[in-house]
Amino acid sequence: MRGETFYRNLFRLMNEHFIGMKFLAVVWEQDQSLTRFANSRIHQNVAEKKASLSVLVTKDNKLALATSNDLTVSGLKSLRERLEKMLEFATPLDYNFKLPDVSVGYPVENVAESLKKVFAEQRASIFDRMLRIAGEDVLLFGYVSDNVTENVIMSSNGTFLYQSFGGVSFNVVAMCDSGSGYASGVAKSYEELNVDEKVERAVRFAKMSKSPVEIDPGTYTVILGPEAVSDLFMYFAWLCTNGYTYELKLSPSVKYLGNKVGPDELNVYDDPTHPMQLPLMYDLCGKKREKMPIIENGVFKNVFYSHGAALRFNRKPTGHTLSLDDLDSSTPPNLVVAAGSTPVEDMIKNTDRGIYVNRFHYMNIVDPQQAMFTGMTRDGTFIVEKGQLTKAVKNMRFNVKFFDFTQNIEAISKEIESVASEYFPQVAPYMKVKNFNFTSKTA
Amino acid sequence: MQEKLEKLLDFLKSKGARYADVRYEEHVRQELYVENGVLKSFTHSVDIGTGIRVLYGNGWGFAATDERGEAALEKAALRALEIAMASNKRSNKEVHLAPEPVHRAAFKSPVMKDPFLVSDAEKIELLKAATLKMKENPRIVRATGSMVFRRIDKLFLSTEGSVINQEIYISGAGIEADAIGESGFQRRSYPASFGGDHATRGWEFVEEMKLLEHAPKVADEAAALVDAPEIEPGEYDIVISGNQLALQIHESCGHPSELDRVMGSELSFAGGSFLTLDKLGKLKYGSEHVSITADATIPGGLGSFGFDDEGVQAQKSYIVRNGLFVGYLMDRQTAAELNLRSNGAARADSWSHPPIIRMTNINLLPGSYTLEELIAGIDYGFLLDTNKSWSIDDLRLNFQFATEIAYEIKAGKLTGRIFKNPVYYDITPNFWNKCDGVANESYWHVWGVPNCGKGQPMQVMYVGHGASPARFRRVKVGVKK
Repeated sequence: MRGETFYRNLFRLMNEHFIGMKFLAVVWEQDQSLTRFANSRIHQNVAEKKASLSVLVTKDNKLALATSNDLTVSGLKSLRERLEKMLEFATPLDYNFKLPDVSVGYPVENVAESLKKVFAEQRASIFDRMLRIAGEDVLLFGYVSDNVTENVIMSSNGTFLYQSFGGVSFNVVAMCDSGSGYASGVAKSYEELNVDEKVERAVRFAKMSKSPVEIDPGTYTVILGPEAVSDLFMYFAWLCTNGYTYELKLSPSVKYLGNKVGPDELNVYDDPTHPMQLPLMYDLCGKKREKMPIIENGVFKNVFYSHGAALRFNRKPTGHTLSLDDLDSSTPPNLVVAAGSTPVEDMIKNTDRGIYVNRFHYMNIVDPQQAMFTGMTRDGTFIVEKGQLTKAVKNMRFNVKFFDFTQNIEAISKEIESVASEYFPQVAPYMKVKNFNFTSKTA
Repeated sequence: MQEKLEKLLDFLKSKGARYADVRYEEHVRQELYVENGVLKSFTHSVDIGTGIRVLYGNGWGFAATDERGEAALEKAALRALEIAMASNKRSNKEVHLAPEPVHRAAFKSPVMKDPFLVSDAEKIELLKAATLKMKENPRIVRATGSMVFRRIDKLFLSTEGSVINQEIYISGAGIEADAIGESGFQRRSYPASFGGDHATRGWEFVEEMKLLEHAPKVADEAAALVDAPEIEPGEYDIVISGNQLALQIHESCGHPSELDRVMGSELSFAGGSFLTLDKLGKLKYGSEHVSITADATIPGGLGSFGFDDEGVQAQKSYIVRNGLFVGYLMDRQTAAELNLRSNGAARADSWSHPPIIRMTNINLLPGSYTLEELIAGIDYGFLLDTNKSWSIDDLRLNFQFATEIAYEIKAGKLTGRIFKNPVYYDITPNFWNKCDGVANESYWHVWGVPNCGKGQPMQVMYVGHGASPARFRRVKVGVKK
């Protein structure tokens, strides 16, 4: 970590070398390590340390953005020269652009002391622990990772914001003959990472998954684990909460925003303050991020506006500008699907016939207009009969319209878990949902 | 720089490394994005750094840094070594590398017009003109055009003595039109979706696309799709266009033939593969019309290079020959496990990541038909064009693709009627065994897929797929909603 003092000095240099230019600058500095294992041995073990400085300049309502990982004075001079040349050719926007107003805030430091110096041996020892839990007849595949990130936002308007955050994560597939189980987790430090319980679950599912049976495609009542729930809501958030596509009427939210889309206890937030989240407290335009409802008491409440979309459509920016090269799009990075009222144990116990799905694989959007998603089940799919998980099921493909899915939610669990998703960490409960549409099965 | 890197390798050898390699890379990237005639995003980036890979005993370590001083490089080398030692302690398997000659060589992409020397004004004007042309259709609410240009300079050195310089250029462009009507919204793209087409070529590649000439058809089809019907779910004979087949090959042949997936290295994330070792040389993957190669030597293919990121020379090899599954994509370590030589598929997307097995150009070889002959062989069916969505299971068997448009075929001819939201699905070997004809080489094109995600940390690789349209019998089209 270079630390706040280094970046205050960089800000001073920016002001010196970009004199006369209107700029917004963002630094990302990252030190990330990841230990990967397969067949119960480490096969890849990496560390990367890098920083990048992106400078957005505006002149005569034109924009240009240049990025470099040279943070020296000569790097700044090169960036300025490059940007001046780009502005010669850039053409004006079709709305009145202005840089974000000055944003003032205390430095935010969210890096656990123990994360400031992590060695490969420490990650490997977590892997050793996983192996002990798994036992000899189970093979493990997955990763353990830690990272420390510094993010700095600076502007010619006088904004200087520094935020740092650290996190650890893991995932694991346990294999026992043909059976498999999966779990993942995210936390602010290794001390807080709930490895043991989750690896035990993955191993239990692997052992239960041997000799899966085929079932026919059709609509079933399902109980979805937090991994599966988080996948569905991540695609929803990505497709349906972008204010820009909403205003263009190119979003399914045009039909659903403001409507009751699920049961009263369905609550979904973008919440950087949630204790299980890794918080991003400012967006890249320096807008302070706060807990914002997406779905509240079953009503689809909000889409989000990035800096560009807010200017263009005369809205207030909501703290969701996560990219300087696309100032129109917005994404909620701290997605939390809130807990409900049903213990997961009761959810299963009260199911006469259904399917338990631990995890989805390779989801995608089939039809954006209808928010129709597809994907496969994976690593722990079981028939639920008379309140118990009985037989493992071969993987199935689903095709589901998201807003039909939410209307079919019958119960949401009291328990919530942190999930290491493909993009941002998420928090999600279990859900019981009727009429879930499986359309084909695998070979 | 070379001298600094040689010293690093000597240093690592002196510390007991069995093998080490180092890549110093400079990435320059320019992107332009125009919407409805307005330049919305104009970016330039430079990303420079060094990745160091060490084999200590039987454990691998990798560390990367963007600092360039000798002390910083030595610190990164020690970090890679420390990581390799931690891996080695837990290793219960010997690591061997398949032999590869020492190379002292250089490679440059075949660029006729350096895209970084073409005026920015010319690029912007072309995108503006194409998007405004699409916007002339009143139903088009958003007309977009994008271009991306990259130059990647790589210097590779290994403790075996290889010293390889490469200069890779990438050019890509595409246009899209979003139409709105009473029945909703639809999109058409050209020459392919999700950013268009890409190649390791220069500005001439963008000129050949003729974006402006194609803009009206793209807009008209998007507008017409809004009110088009959907296909009644059922089994149909279909012809799949080259740009969609590219992704079909990518997902159902390219990925499952990656030997690291077969051996379990990707199991927790991307998944495994149905092409297990017992199937090599035995599985009837497809019909006799199906021959698929991995070929990094095709001039200008997006997956083309001189040497992979382990210093293995670019090659052509067969994955499927006349329907029979015959080969994998390999790096030096996995090839050694099969007592084979690497076929040069170890690639890293950046100096900050280690090489893993990636596709190069994975190609369905052309057949002998014309497109008209393929269509003429269908009593009732569809021609499916341009990818809209993809999904496939963790072993790469059950897939489902959606395309932007389906053109109706009746009595061996295109009727002019179009359908929206077509979806088709199948099981990989069943599907490829239904192929009864591939169009000839005059239709063949290497499509560039610039966004293939794999690995943890995630790496986004640029790969190519040679394909011409092909015909498949009795494929399930449409899903119950």
